Amino acid sequence: MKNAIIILVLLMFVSMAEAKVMVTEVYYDPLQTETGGEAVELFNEGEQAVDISGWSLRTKSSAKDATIPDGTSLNPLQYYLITDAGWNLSKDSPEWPEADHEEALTLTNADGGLALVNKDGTIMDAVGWGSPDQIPPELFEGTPHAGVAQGISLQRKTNGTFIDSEDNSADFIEGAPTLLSGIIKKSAQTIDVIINITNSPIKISSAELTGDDLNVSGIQLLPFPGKMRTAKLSLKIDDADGLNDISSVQANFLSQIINSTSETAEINGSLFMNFSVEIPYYQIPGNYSASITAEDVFGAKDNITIPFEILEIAGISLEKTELILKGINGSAAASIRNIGNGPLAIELSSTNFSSDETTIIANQMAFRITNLENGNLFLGNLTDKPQRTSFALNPAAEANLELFLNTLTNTSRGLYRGKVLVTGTK
Amino acid sequence: MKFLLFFLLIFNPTFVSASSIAVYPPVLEWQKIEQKTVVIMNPEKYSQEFQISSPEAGLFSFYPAHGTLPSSGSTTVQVTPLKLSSGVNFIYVSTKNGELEPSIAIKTRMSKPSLFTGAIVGALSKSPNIFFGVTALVIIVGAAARLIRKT
Repeated sequence: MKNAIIILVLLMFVSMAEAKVMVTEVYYDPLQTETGGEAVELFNEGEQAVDISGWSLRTKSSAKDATIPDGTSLNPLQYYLITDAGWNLSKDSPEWPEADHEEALTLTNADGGLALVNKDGTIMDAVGWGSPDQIPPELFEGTPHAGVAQGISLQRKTNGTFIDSEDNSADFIEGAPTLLSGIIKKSAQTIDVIINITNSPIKISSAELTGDDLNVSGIQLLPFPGKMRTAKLSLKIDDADGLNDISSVQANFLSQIINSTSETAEINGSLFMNFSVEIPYYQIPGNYSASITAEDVFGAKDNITIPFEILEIAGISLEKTELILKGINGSAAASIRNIGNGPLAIELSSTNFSSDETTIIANQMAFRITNLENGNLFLGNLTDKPQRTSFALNPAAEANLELFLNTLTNTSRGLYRGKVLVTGTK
Repeated sequence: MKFLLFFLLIFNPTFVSASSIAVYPPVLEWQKIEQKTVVIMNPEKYSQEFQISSPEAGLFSFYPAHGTLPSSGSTTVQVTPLKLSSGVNFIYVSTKNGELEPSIAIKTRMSKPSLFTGAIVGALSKSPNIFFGVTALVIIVGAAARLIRKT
């Protein structure tokens, strides 16, 4: 009695293991030929190997259309491919695997079905396609699948494991053939990964700073003396899910933050933008970088930087090109401005001042330079050679130049003309 | 005659209210005789005459040495030292608007290579000095060989 119970339990386990061998794909209507091109894929989803010796495929045309040879065992998670005889020569794609077992198969293209029958004659699985009225009931489960077009196979659905709800119309879908043979499906412990793509990343695909002044590598920009220089940042932005969700594009250039631009165009799915940026003439020479950030409404960002160099220029501006001094106590003034981006030392030189009759030598003209930035003074007499003053004029700073006659009272009446050169030097 | 009052007039027949000029670069350095470019910029909204010169005659050649700067524009001048002499010199770039003129002095530095350095540089480069370089190198090597033989 005890032995009988043990045998019964063992038989139950065997039965449970066998139940996991199923038909997972049927290719019944090949593109090239009905003779040699049909295939049925089996799969053991159980945790134990199953001896499938003597198992057979029952079809409309034959109770044993194909029989699996003796000594055949299907390991857990292993595929087994039964094909029509001549498969290797006649299969639709040379890349498809070789069969595990070849035998003449007759799978009807319409209103057909097949059953996987074990050695004892028990139907382990069945797949039918077409009208249920036209298919023997043991050749399908539930409702047959509606059927597929030529070159398409019936494939069991999977959600990590194959679905078997005993209803062919619910369990099978159509698709391009993915037949497998003898392969052990890896990963007995699977993790379902669900990827729900709700947004694609925004991409600044190109950024360019125009206005390069030197024909050497990199971008070198010359400031415009005494004024702002305008340069242009040109961008191309792509977003696979469309440009409508781009919420902001911001450029940071020499501490200027520019949030929007009116120069925007959408061409072939890309967004083209131009930013006008300004370079102050007093910008300290050196290496800088412009930074551009694009962001969409989901918070996805892309950033790009453009390195560039601000070159050093030396520039000077005089408020006037003539000074008129009236009388021996006369004086006149003009402002001097540093319009470059480096400090300038000021040099003065002068010609003598001549009338038709006589000359006032240069050093009889006194000068006073007042640095309006810090109040420093420099006093002296002009000479006919460049004479450097003692202070530097910082970028954008101004100084006031005053000239005074420091001549003898017996100088002759007349109009005296001379030339004063105000030189800025690094 | 003694007069207590007189008039001194510095005037410009083509009246210009202000004048500005700028250059790039403010410093030029040479280690061999080669042409360098100076950019002269005119920020004014009118064209200006300019001139470029060096107080020390025969040290530099300028092309062009003078010309017209377009309004709010620039022009380039090619500067080539005629000889290499160690030390600091200045090149003056000025406008020619009137009697009170702005100018910018470009500081120049030259480093005159030693005979040996010149020979090596000349021998290894494709400059016009290659003949000098190779010759000097041969002389140096010859002299060294003689010295070794004597000792």
